Amino acid sequence: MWGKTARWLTTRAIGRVTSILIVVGVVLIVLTTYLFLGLRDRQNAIQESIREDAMWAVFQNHREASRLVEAILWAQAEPTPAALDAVSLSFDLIYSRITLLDSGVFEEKFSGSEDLQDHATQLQATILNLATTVDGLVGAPDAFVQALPYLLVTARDIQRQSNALVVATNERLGAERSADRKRKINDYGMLARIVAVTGLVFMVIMALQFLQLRVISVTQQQLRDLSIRHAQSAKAAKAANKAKSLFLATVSHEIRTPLNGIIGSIDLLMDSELTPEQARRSLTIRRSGHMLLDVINDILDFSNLDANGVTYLNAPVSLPELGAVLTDVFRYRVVDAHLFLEIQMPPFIVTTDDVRLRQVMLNLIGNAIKFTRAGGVTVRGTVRHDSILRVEVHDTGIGIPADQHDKLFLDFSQIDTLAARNSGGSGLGLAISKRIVTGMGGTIGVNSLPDQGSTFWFELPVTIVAPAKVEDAGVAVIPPPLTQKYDAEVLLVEDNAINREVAKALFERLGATVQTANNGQDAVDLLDVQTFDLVVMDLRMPVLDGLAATREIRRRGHTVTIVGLTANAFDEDRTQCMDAGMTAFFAKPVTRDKVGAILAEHGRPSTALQGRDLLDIQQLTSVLEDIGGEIYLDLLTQLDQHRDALVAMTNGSHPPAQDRAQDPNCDHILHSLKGASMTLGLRQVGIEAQAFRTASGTGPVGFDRLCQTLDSSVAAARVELQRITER
Amino acid sequence: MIRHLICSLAISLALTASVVGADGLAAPQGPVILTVSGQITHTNGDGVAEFDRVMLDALAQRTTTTATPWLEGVHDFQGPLGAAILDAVGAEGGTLQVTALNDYFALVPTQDFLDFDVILATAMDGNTLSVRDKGPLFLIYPFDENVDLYTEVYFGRSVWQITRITVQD
Repeated sequence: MWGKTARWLTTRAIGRVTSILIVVGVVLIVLTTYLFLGLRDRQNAIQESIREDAMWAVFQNHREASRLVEAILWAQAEPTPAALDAVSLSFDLIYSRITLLDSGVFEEKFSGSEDLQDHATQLQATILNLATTVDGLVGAPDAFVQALPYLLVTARDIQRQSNALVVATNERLGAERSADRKRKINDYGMLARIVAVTGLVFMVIMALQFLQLRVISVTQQQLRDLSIRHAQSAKAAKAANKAKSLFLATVSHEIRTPLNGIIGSIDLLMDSELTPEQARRSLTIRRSGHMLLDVINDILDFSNLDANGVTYLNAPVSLPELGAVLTDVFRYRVVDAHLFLEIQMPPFIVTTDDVRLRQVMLNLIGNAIKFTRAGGVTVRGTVRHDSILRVEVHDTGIGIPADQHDKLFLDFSQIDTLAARNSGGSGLGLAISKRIVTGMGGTIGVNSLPDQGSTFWFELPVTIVAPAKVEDAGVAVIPPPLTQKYDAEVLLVEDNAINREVAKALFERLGATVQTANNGQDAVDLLDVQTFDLVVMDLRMPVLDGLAATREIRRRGHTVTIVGLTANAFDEDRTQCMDAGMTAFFAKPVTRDKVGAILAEHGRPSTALQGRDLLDIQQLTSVLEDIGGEIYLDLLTQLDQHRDALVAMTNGSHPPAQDRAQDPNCDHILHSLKGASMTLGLRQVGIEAQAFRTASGTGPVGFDRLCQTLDSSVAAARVELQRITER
Repeated sequence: MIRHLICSLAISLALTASVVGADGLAAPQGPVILTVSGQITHTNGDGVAEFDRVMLDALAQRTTTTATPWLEGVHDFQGPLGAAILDAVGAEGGTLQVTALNDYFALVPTQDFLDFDVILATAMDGNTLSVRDKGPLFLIYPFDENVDLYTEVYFGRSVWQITRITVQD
């Protein structure tokens, strides 16, 4: 019932009614006060008593008149001087009261007192008349005695008239009293009614207040219920959102794992000899793969930001170095897209979060490349007032209409243009960038017009720490092929078979010798019996994950370099890797560039000779002159047979390494290889083959190196042959 | 100066002599206006103290200017202080029965004569009060000086045409 009441009787309505009632109550109180004061005024005791006095006075007058009659009768009976004096005094007493009979006196005291006034005036006239007579008789006793009958008649007149006045006054007084009483009853009745109404008003106010309290109480209860329900829904929503984020993260991860395989494989494929058609299709696969990777990374970043908010870790960052790194990162994409990328960063080391800064710049530059068909991307960084880093990413792309600018930075928003649809993307990159920049206390924006390119810019508060050495890598140029080889024995720990194979191939391509382990436990066991230069450790693995394995390896006292493979480059992963005892980490996917960077930092550059240094040019030239290009090429191809034989020995069932040199078959092959190589000018192959024949303690690793040297030498010889033939 | 002082003293002695008789109060020479009886110590008759106009005029006087319920406007009332009369008769009672020529009387606490400057007015606005003017004596409270007096209680005690005062317990 209360709930129903509360629905139509809101506290606001009650408040309004209460206010009105309070005003009414105040008016009533004022009215009551006014009436009360009026009553008190009318009840003026003096006025009333004066009226009573008037009655008393006329009565006294009548009494004096009677006494005058009595005195005259006495004097007539015995006319002594004393008796005559008594008559005179008695008259004086009557006379002294004459002022009460003055005109206006009754008017003052009784309303509508005309008849009273007439009586009074008549009486007054009679007394004044008599006064003249009495004044003439005082001091003349004889005349006084003779006049007594006349005086008696007049005194009786006075007596009769005063009696009439008494009766009239009494009547008048009664009427006045009753009128007064009536008025009073009226006034009191009015007062009582007003007081009753006032009381009623205040009772209603109190009732309303009580009602309001109940309504408030009910409302509060409803609010409490509502807030409980809201809390429950919020909890459910939170749980759902968490589940969604978890699902997104899981799905992204699951998509990324095979994607890593695709990208790594295509990198490898593109290093091999391909027909132009194959090269073009491979390029398409690589581009698509990277595009898909961007989308997945965006989603993962976003769900991460969504779930955990943005955390920042400020540290000194060299801006030119960052420029160089970015140039490096985009090198292939720029080249693939036939664009130029120019990055100019100010020569400072500043304090900021390098991972976040890099992430934002990656997003902006990536977008710029994505939406630019011709021309290129210019990135220009400046530091203003020693405290604000402004970075502008300008492209010569399709541009953006001004009315779309606001939408750009919204979550899940893509500009609806054909170009944008064709370019793909999650639409999260700018939203993520905005969250990051805003979270770091900066601003982000865009200046752009259709067909005039776009300039995306952001400003971040930074602190300049020191000037930085300007790196000479600001301009992207077609990189020299990765010809540098490394000597490194690598243990690759990765549970996914495809990724394992791809990564293994990438490391081997750069000269490293790779052994693999399927999980952390295998890696720990292997490290106990064998020494490696480098361990590349995936984080998520069955049996024993990368972090646990790293801790275990460190616990067992191994100081080997361990590089973690993280799903992304967030603080949490970064911190976890370092805490577990890893030396470094890098984010998936494993690409040729990354492998090169890891080996450059943690491996040893191969002492193996390269290119023409592998060859005896003089011998090669002379043999070529003797036998001609075609036969030379044929012979060169035949060397592959030696290679195959060596590989068969490495992989097949073969005797232990120390016995191999003594194996006549092996020695034969090595001998044959040495002879053929020396003849064809492949000097290094000859030297290494001879070294195997004489040295002991060489193993499969050594054969691998020999095979690589052979491959390199054959390649170098082909290049040389080409050059000589062209000349 | 000294002669002046001696002169004043002589006059006051003469006045006292005229008022104070055998029992301390002189006998009235003219018509008797006021007769005080009851518990008094100074008399000039048979247990009574009688005053003529001269004797009353010889007592300490006062002029009270006030409005009254019985007369229009403000008037000057002159006459001997009630306290002076009580003093002259050596009154020893707590209540005074004040009686008028027409036998009206009121009971007045003696304390009223001591607390307020009550006078028995013999004249109004310089004119002697006759019986026709509510004289010869009119008991006047200083209403205008003390508004608390303006009530029926004191109106009732304001007896006019006074002829007799009886000092009671």
